[in-house]
Amino acid sequence: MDYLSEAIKQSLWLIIHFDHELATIVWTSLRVSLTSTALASIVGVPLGFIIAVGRFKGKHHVEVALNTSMALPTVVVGLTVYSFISRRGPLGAYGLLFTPTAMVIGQFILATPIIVALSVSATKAIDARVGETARTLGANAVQTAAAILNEARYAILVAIVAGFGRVIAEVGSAMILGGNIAGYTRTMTTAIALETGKGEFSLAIALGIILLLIALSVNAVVQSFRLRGS
Amino acid sequence: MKLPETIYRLANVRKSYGDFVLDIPKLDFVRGETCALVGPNGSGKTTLLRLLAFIERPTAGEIRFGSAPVWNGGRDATFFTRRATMVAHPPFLFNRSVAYNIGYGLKLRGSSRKEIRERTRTALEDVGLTGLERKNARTLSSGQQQRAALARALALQPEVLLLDEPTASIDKKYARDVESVIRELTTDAKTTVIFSTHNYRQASALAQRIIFLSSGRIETLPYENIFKGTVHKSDGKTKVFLNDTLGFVVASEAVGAVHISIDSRDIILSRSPSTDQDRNCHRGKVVRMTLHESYARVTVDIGVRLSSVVSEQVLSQLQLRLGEDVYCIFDGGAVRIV
Repeated sequence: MDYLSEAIKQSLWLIIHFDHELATIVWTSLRVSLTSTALASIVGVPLGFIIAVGRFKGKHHVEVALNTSMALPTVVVGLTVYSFISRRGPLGAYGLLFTPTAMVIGQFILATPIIVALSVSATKAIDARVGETARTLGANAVQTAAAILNEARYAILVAIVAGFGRVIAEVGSAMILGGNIAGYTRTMTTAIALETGKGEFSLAIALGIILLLIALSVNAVVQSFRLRGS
Repeated sequence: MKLPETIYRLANVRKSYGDFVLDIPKLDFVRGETCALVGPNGSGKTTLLRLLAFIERPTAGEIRFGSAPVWNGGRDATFFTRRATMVAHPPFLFNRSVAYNIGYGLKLRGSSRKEIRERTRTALEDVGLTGLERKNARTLSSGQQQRAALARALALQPEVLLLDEPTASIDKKYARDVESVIRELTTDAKTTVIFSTHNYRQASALAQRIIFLSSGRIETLPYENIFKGTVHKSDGKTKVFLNDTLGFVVASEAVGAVHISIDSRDIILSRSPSTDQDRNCHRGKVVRMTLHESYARVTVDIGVRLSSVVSEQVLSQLQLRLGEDVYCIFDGGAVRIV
């Protein structure tokens, strides 16, 4: 067990001294995941609202498909995007493979169904009188939608945070699309997989601790929003 | 006298909800009037208010606001919704502060922060909620929420204020505040107020016109000039006393506390008192006159407000002006116990 306690000690040392390699990996992870979550939110929240309030044929099937795609396997997403952006793929000319952009695309696909599905639930849970009240106070269609989303703000934030939680912790798509290039596309999860494979536990444990802290913070934020919302 | 402008014109309007049908062949509202919708639950009061607030689209028929057709008229919905504001019952407030709720509609209209602040303060003062600006609106009591919703509508200074049972869940003390707000709007005559109520006394005290609804239809013989009183024998006559001094001769054998109604068409207006001692004759001041197509409705304050319908011809003969004295003359038979 000595190697384990030694690795934990070294990992703490890396965190306390804000090791450059560690910091770069954490920053890359956050940058990619925050970007993909932001883009997924821009698309997912309005889409979720439209699905929730819209009346169209096949609405129920769309909702079932969304709920199913919340559990999309990350490696399948990685593989699919890879087939499009690899040199021989239809988008190969853009040279996206093994770049942070490729990782953002993969994570965007993972986060969007979660944000859409949870936004649908959040919007549906809102009292129908919100829209009616906004209209009678003079709101146009866009302002009415904004009033409904405003009323659902805590649940929408939970949806966004859940999307972020999904992508910050995923490894499959990031590994396939980013290629785990040091200082460029190496994220916390891909680095943990690599370092563990090499038997270098200290960096892996340090990253694991940070990832857990992020997960803890995300859950604390979600919980706090839920409490405020209720 | 200036011919009053029709603000709403409803023609052959129908609204169906399952088995319920609101059916209004013809109904007009005049700009600046205060009108009460009275009827039992399920009579269509709220549905009519929702149609007037443009929240609901009629199943058939036409609603005109001013001269513009509301639906299929090519105008943006906000053109209408920003002129008529409805306070629902129970009211709905956003899950934000009281100030946010009151400022919301003003923000939509592009009002400045200063204006929003000032109008919020005045509106809260009007409904007796000063000091609650920062409180979350959902934490208010149901009565306070109703008053906050009224303040939110008042702050907008709309052309039409539609109130669904405005005092239904409010304590008596604050109900009087709300009533005085409505009364002020009535006196001001700039805002058209249409409110629903179960309370005849409130309707007759506040409104110049009462529309009775029953099973989705307008009652053709509505009760008007409704008062509460007590029947006593006095000077050999049976009289119903509304207070210590004001009593009407009544042709009824009823005793004790009663509600009475006097058909506005049975009240004759005259410059001179009646010589017939058996008739009711009360002197009062003209407080309101509203011209309709072929008749005028004159409200006279004789201690209570009596509404009388007179023909245009009679009105021109009398040459009445606001504030002038006039006699209200009606038979004991016109006083109906309801």
